[in-house]
Amino acid sequence: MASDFILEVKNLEKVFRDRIGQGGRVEEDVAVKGVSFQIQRGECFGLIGESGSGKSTTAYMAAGLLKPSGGELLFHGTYMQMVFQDPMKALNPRRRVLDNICEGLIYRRDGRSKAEIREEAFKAMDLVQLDRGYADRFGRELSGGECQRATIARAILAHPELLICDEVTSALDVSVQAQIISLLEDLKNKLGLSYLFISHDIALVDSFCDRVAVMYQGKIVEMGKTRDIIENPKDAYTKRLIGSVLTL
Amino acid sequence: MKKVKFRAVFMIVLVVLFLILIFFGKQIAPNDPYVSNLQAANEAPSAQYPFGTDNLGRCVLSRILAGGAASVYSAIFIVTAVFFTGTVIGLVAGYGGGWVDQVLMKITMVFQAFPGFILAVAIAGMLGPGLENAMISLMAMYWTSYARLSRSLVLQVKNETYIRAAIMCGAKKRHILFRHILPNIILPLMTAAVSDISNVVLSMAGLSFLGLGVQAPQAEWGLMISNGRQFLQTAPWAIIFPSAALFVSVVLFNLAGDCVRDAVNDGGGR
Repeated sequence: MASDFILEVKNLEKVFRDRIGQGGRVEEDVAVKGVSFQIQRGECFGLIGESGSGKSTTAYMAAGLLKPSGGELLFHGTYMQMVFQDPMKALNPRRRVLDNICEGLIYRRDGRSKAEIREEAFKAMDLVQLDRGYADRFGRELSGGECQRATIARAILAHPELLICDEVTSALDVSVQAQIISLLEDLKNKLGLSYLFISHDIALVDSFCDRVAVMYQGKIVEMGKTRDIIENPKDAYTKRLIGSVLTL
Repeated sequence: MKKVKFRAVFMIVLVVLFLILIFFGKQIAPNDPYVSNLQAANEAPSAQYPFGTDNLGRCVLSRILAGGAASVYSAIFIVTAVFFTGTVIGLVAGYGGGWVDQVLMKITMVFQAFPGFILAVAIAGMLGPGLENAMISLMAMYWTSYARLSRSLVLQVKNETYIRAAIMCGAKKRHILFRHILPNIILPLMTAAVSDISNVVLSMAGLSFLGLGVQAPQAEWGLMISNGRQFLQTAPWAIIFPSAALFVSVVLFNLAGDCVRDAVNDGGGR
């Protein structure tokens, strides 16, 4: 049964338990509590909130990199990929850019030869507008924006249906941010991707996301169409968040 | 950058020459290092015996050349062995985490609870004198630092974003260990290993000096120093030249270690 949704999140919960000292008491830190949302196919769903609101934890759980403490995650697709906040750290410094990009397919062992994977990786580089000449360089020789293009190339090489973007523009300067966002828009149209887009930047979410959920202290306080929420916020925290944006 | 590379190459050439010299030490020795000639005992340096003779009339230079293998090659073997075992233990502990990590680290703590050389002396004393036993005891003394170093490096690296990205791409544990973690931690470990050779050379000589390492009549620098000690006033060359050989090799490997470290840091390695 093909679902309209690519990802369904139901009542997701994450509690971090830290043991204080040797055999001492256990401190519980509720990072995410009762988070539910659905992402439709082809949709761009934004998750905004301040630092520590649990949005990245939610993203990591959705990606399968963190085990949820409770709740349900339903992914109605074959592959999902993630693009990370700091592009410089997302490339293995001991491997060349092309080898890093090839990682997207190399572990799948689906009969593709190494040469085929390299050819596809070059095509992915073209798609993200990363010069093929960078293939034999190392991550440290690239700028932040170029690194982020490389990590996006790695992600799309895996042919994901859902791309989780965790603060992908936070580590980049403003002009490069705009380029990366327009690249993501472009990829969405060309590859039919769905996005889970994590950000603390309302302006960015406004320009990029169809729907948005506002997170505060581990819970979703408001969810709806991006425009509606920005023009007509109901929750007190959302109002404050929107009010804090500087207007030029 | 160029200067650092040049220095590293120069040091490597020096070390290789030194190793070749020691490897063929027995062949290039001017006299038989094991033939004693009591009539020529405690003789001062001369044309026939460039570094003089010891109390049994054996050529000191020949014995230094012949004894280098026991001192330096055994040290290199020990370092190689502890480098591999320590690195693997650290990898398993650091990446495995949980109770595996706890158990392995508690074991290294037990070894580290004793002052290193005392532990080596105790183990060598228990096993009995001899080159092999001395090597075993030194391995027991040195492996812990590699285990701890590689564990701490693994802990630094294992939560890096590129490893998360690899997991997202479907990498298995072995891929993560060998493609991502190992290449990123191997250089600091190798630097530590090269610098450690000189320490092990000294420890080996120390064990032999105490009579727990290489046994007479075999030539070994620490043992030669120990023998020459009784004749310090009448035949100082029997103690000065083996000490100088020890000194040169320690300085050489220390400098080589520094060069490797500089070259690694310069190459953008972390």
